[in-house]
Amino acid sequence: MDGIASSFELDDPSDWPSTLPHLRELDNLLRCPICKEYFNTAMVTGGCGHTFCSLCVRRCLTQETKCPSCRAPLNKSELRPNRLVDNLMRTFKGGRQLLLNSLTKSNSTPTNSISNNAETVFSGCRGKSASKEESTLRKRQRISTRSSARISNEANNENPAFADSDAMQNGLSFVVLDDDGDIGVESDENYTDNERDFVPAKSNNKKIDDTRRTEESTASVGITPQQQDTKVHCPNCKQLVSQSLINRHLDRCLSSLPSSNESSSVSAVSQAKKHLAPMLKPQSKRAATLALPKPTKLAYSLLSESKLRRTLKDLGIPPKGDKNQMQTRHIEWVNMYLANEDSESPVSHRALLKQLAAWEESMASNQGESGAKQQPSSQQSSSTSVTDHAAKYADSFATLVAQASSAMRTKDPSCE
Amino acid sequence: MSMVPKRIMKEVERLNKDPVPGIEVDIVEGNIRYFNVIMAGPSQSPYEGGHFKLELFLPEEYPMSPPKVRFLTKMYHPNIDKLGRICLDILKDKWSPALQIRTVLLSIQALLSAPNPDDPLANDVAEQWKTNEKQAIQTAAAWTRKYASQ
Repeated sequence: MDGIASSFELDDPSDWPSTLPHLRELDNLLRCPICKEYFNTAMVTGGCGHTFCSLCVRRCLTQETKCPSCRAPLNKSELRPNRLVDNLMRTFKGGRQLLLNSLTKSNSTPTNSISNNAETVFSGCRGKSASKEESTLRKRQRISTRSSARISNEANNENPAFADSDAMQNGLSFVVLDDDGDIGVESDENYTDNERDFVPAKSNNKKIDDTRRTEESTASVGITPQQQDTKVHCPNCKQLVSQSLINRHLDRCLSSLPSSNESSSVSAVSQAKKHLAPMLKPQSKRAATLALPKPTKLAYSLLSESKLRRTLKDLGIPPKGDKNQMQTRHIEWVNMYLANEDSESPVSHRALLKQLAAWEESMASNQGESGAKQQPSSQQSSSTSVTDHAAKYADSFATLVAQASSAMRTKDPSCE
Repeated sequence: MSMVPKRIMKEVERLNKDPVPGIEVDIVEGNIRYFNVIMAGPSQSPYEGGHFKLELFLPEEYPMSPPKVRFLTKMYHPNIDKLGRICLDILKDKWSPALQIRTVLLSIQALLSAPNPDDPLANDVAEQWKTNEKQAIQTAAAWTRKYASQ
């Protein structure tokens, strides 16, 4: 019950007044169909194109290799990150409270009577207060990104066609900025990462994440402005390009064949990721923070308990409990680890281990809770309560026996 | 899973705020996973006018495994047996974690409108439904009046 009490803050699409079905639907669409929360690292499925949280869909696919929405066959390898959805959700979530507040305010004023139909309320709110607040919010985001990451002025004053991608990039770097607290500590690893900046950018997703983290920490540590030149992903070929060069790159990138380019780069990235992931983990990082080896799916039935225990120990996760407990912990760890890798702003492995421990605790408390509830009821039917039950209903049993025997007596003579 | 109780809370909140027409859901005191449901029989079906009681339980693995639902009111329906158990694919192998209490109850309501005697749970009822549908529908309506009118 502890988990419920602590997380009682419930936001829900039904928070929006029923006169605004569009906003309700929008709110609903930005939520994972599995956990009903806003997407946490949205992943789109390969064949059917449904979107879920990374961890949610990975948990489902561990049980059944089917899309939770349409039941089409689906493998974990077919999941791809859906960054646009992440950004949409983040923008919406950022303005949600403001929008809700302004809605309730405008609804409570007597001028905005109930006779207004949904359309006018909708457009009125968006047109006046809400959009203003949204724009100030966006401006604030933009300012904060500019001051910390120093996005060049031309980038913001681009032609309108690029306004969207610009905003997206801003949102992106903004979010990266409020990452977990580990970054400041990892300063000695910055240099190794910076050196790796000169490696061709396509080589590895992992590395891209690292460089992004580095940019962030260099920004906070305050190294020369040259190094602060923010790199962004090309929306077309996913290549990491300096922000000042992105437009030139985009022109070139879009004029070349987009489809073949994209697919080859994606497959190259995933291939490289598979092969290079263990090698690219820098030694210094391992020393500075806790970097755990990437776990893989195991054939649990073929593993003995001691072997599984050793595997868990090697992976750095607690090797306690019996085989079943270790197995569930390992499954969850694989899912958590991979979901964290999917994330735009992955947390440190130390934080991930904490999450694993918290998950296990909540599982245990769930079990304890339901166990406490189920056990008495199941015990009622077992030995101790049978006597209680017999004692309680002794009278009614007696009358039933009497009735039955009297019925027998009346029946018997007639039969004979 | 810490997210699961939160999801249940959300679903309950949603069902309270935005109830499904013709379906009433009450939490059984002291157990967030156990619900009493009263479902109105769909119109233009032999169950019209009836108020059917169901119980719904969310097992620990929910939403990874389906809720357990059972009719408490006696039903004359080819896919509902004497014990009130329901033969519905989404409650068994077609379950998906993207489904929820609301969708399950709506599906059950739909099953009342469209009985499927080809996939029976109550064999005698299904047989009757196939051989003499008119008679079967009359019986179902009679049962509704007898057991489900309040």
